Amino acid sequence: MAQKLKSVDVVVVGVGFMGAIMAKELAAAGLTVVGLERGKKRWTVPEFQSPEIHDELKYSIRKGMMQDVTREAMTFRNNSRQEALPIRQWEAFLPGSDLGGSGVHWNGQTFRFTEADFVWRTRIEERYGKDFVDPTLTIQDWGVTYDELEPYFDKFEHLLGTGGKAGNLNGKIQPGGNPFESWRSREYPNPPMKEQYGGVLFRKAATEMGYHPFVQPSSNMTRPYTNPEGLQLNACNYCGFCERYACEHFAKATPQTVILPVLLKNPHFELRTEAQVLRVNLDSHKKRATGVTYADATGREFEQPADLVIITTYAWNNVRMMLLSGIGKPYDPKTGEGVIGRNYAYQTTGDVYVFYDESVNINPFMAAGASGTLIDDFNDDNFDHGPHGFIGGSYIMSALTNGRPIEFHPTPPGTPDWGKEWKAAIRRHYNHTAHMLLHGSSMPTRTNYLDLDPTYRDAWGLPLLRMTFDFPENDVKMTQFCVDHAVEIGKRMGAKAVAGYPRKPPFTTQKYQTTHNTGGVVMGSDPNTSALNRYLQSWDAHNVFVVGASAYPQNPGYNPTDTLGALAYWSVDAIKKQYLKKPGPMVSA
Amino acid sequence: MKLNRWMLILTVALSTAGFLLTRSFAAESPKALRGDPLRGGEIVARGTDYGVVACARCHAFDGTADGSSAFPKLSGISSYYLAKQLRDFASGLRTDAIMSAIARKMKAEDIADVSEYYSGVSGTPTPAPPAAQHLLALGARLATVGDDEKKVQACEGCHGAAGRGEDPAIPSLAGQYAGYIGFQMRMWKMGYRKNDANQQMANIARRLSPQDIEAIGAYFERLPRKDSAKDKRRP
Repeated sequence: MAQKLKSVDVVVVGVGFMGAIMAKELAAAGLTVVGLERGKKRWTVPEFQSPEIHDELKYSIRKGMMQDVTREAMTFRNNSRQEALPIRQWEAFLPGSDLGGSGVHWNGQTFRFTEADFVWRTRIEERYGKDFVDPTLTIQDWGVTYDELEPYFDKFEHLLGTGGKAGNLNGKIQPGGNPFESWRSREYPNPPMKEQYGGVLFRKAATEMGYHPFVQPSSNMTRPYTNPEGLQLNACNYCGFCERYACEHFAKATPQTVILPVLLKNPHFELRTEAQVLRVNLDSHKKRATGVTYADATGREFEQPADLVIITTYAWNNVRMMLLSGIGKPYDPKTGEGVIGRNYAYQTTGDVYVFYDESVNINPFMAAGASGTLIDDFNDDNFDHGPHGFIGGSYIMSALTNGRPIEFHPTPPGTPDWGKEWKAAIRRHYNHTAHMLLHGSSMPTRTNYLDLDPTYRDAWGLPLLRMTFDFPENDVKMTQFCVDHAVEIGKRMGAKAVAGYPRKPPFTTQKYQTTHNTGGVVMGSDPNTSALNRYLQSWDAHNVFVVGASAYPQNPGYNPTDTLGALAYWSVDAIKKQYLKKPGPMVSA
Repeated sequence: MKLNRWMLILTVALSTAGFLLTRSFAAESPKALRGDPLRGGEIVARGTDYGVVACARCHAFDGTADGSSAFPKLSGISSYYLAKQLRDFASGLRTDAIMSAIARKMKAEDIADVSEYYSGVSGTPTPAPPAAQHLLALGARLATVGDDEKKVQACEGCHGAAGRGEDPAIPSLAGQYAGYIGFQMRMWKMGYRKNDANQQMANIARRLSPQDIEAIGAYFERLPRKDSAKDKRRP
């Protein structure tokens, strides 16, 4: 029997980036807030110390910072005809664990979604007609617009200290920035990163071809910065150990550097680590949450009553928490009904390698997680899709986030995968290869979804989440189209050889793509096709808010974190201004 | 048959030699910037007739300087770093009452040669003046772990394990005079020195107390200085 604890105003499940933001804002508003984090505490000092923190074997290969698959895995299959099996080692995506969550090991790539993204179905149908979209795609509008979110994007970027160059200031296109971006009310808080040499070569070629290159917006500090919370960050020194690692220099925007120290100083907030939340508890009508039940490190169960439950446990962990708690109707792919687990999407990336002769030194190790140079000409709805028969797109970015020895060894096509010739080839090409990442959109389909696995369970005896996913035909066409264009840029970059790798089905969990899993608890304006209203409030239990990329109805071709932060601030603002005054559904269904 | 075998061996030997030759040229292509240590040694000993003062007067022949801690040790530091500092003194990016005037008189090849000379010498160990235990403990903590409250990362995160530097861009601090380290930290802190990338050192120094700075100097002075001539890791 779970021990019942003293009631609090708010319980936040998961203390990562979004959990920290929600908790900080609500505790500052005077509410008593408990943060439950399944992992351990960790701080820049003393936990993140070089040279140990640069241990590639521990962090990149053995995934030292990721969710422990021996306790909590997930199962995977490509389609409903297959039997799903547990993922025993993370590779395609890398969900973080411990205090700060995935916000500790991210790269710092900080893109806003565009005006079109938030009204995606409307926009596509207006531009190309109702019959243009593949009928198997379940794309939809978000229920919130870019204009509404702009102040919150701005707030989040200033929290992070993002460095970049505006391309569109209040509707005016700015030289040097991304002309395709949606308007922003002011400049980035910091200047852009230094360009890598590969980026310089890319910029030249892309400009000659009439495209619009710009430096990637980055939350690796480009100069010393004090954020609006009063926390000081140091300048990045381009060591090339961002993603999969923690920054030892206070130079990457992470919960630890931009918000947690402020949150923990607030006496209204209490952090409990190694607290594994098992479910959200509901009242007898199943219309209101009464709190959560969690297990501590010894397995003892506690019931934490709360008036407000905020779930911020990473995209598909959010889906699992909703399913385990029985909030919202689970999605059924046969009927297309139900909302929890619906519209799961991911990312469709491609790669292009540009091989130079030995006179061109790329120096891949002089890099940060977000120091790329890119074009947005083939992303989003920035070009006419009419002749091509697909929707969405990719940015094309000359980017090397690292030159780490175990992971980075590009070789031209035709090189053997092992042995003497392979060794000679990696020695020859290591410092003379540029890389283009194509970071493409992912459209939801009726058959890609998340549900509870009927067979496999976690260390607490609860069913694992089951992922059913493969690349939709739309996205396969998209990635091929974008890679073809990127290869042309590569040829223009003065290479000896260019190799393009579009993403091809079947999707495999054993090849890295991105940790940008989205959907499953999506936001929207219709309770039949969304689990949350426009404020990330559950349609079914009004005192449950689910913050995360689980809210995205589909995933555009940009990295998701900036939009995640904007939505969190947007949601918590609505909680503070509306919900707390009159608890109940903020949108009538 | 016998001839063929010899031909074969000769061919292999020649092509191996050719291969090695090519490889070493490839590896040495950045060395176009590399100075001549012998000529550098002459400048160190005698100065030049156009007014460059003999470096050894203050820094000694083995780069250990005079023990006063007014002048830094130069042994164990990369030629890249030394040359950059001399160029910065000459351009005014870094200023010093003595060094600015000297560096302005140096030609590009003088800078390259002198830097090459000092990067290759072996210094002489010097005794560190006594320091309180608590100061050494504080220095060790700041140098190896950092300070979460002040948002100061560990010095050794950039300056290398045991302060041995990350050649070529980041200098070794091990065995450097505490007085000199402290002086430079105060220069960064007060804004007189700012010739590093991204204001990294100024940003750190501003957050350190006078005691922190003293402690860091005391800690590093006690570490064995890197011996350039013997250190095989030197590029």
